[in-house]
Amino acid sequence: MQQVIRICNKELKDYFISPIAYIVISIFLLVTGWFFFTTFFYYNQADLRNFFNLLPITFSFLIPAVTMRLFSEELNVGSYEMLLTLPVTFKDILLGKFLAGVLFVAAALVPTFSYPIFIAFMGQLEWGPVAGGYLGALLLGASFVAVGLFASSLTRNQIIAFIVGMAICFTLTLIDKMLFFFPGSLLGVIGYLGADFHFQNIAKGIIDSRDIVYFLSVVFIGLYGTHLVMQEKN
Amino acid sequence: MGKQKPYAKYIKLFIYLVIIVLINVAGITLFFRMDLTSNRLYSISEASKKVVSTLSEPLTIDVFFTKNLPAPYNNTERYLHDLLEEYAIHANKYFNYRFYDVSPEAEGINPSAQENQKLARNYGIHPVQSKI
Repeated sequence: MQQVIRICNKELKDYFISPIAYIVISIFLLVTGWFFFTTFFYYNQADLRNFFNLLPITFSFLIPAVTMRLFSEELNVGSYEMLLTLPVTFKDILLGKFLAGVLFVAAALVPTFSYPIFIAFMGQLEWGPVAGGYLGALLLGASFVAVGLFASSLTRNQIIAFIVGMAICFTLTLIDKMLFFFPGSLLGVIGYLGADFHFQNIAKGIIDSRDIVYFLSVVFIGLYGTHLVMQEKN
Repeated sequence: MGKQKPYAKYIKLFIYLVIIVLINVAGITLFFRMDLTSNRLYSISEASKKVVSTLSEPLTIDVFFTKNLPAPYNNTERYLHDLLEEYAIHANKYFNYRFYDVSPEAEGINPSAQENQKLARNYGIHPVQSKI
């Protein structure tokens, strides 16, 4: 456990020492703020639903960009071999990096608290759905981080890792909008695979056990896939 | 890291995948929903749940709504979507709902809008003017 925390700390330090984290977070804020507030007054409702609705799309760009370096860089620079000689297991490395990614997503979400605070001044804001939405956003972020980690472990090239991760996240986000391509008997199954489909409930302010199970499954599959790839590379 | 048989880990992966799929399938029938809104906006009553889950004949709800209305009507439309979805979650296979676009400005672009309007008129639903 200590190793996990140590690796997580190291990765977080790497993020926040360089200006990259601040640039990524401010661009994320700018984009979500812009898209949220352009439709906010059109609906004239004091809620954050439109903001949460946006998150699957913005996260599928943001998170692969954050996670792309986690393994690729180590493989490329050659520090990965050194890491393996240290007394850490694959699981420690994996969980440490995963945790760092999730904490980064949480850090990106913290400045957006200013939206509900701002809205609370303008109208009666319900805090229940907002809290649920943020928890759900963290779950969504965690599942995308797992996918991004998997993409990053596949290759030593960060750009390829980014594009692969983005492609998977984007497919998960958009697959429930593309149902007309699939035969009728598969509609339910394919729709269930969509991350956006599950996140809609959370954005509304409903916690459904199926959505939680889905996101945890994606996290598990992503992490287990990464674990397999790492074993293969060894 | 003991020397495993090369295919052993793939079998393990496969078993894990099957377990995950089974958990998800079980989750579809055994689920709970928690409504976080203070006045339970998205919850339907027990009586409604019972009615829609014991339908014995097909029930189709047709909704005629103009698209892209200004607030507060766009919210009404979205809320109607949410509510019908909530019914669909608790209903059996006989429950269906469908939204028809009857926007007057879409007539030129969307040829079905005019037919939808005709359909609505046949049901005895006439367009309502409202001022905001």
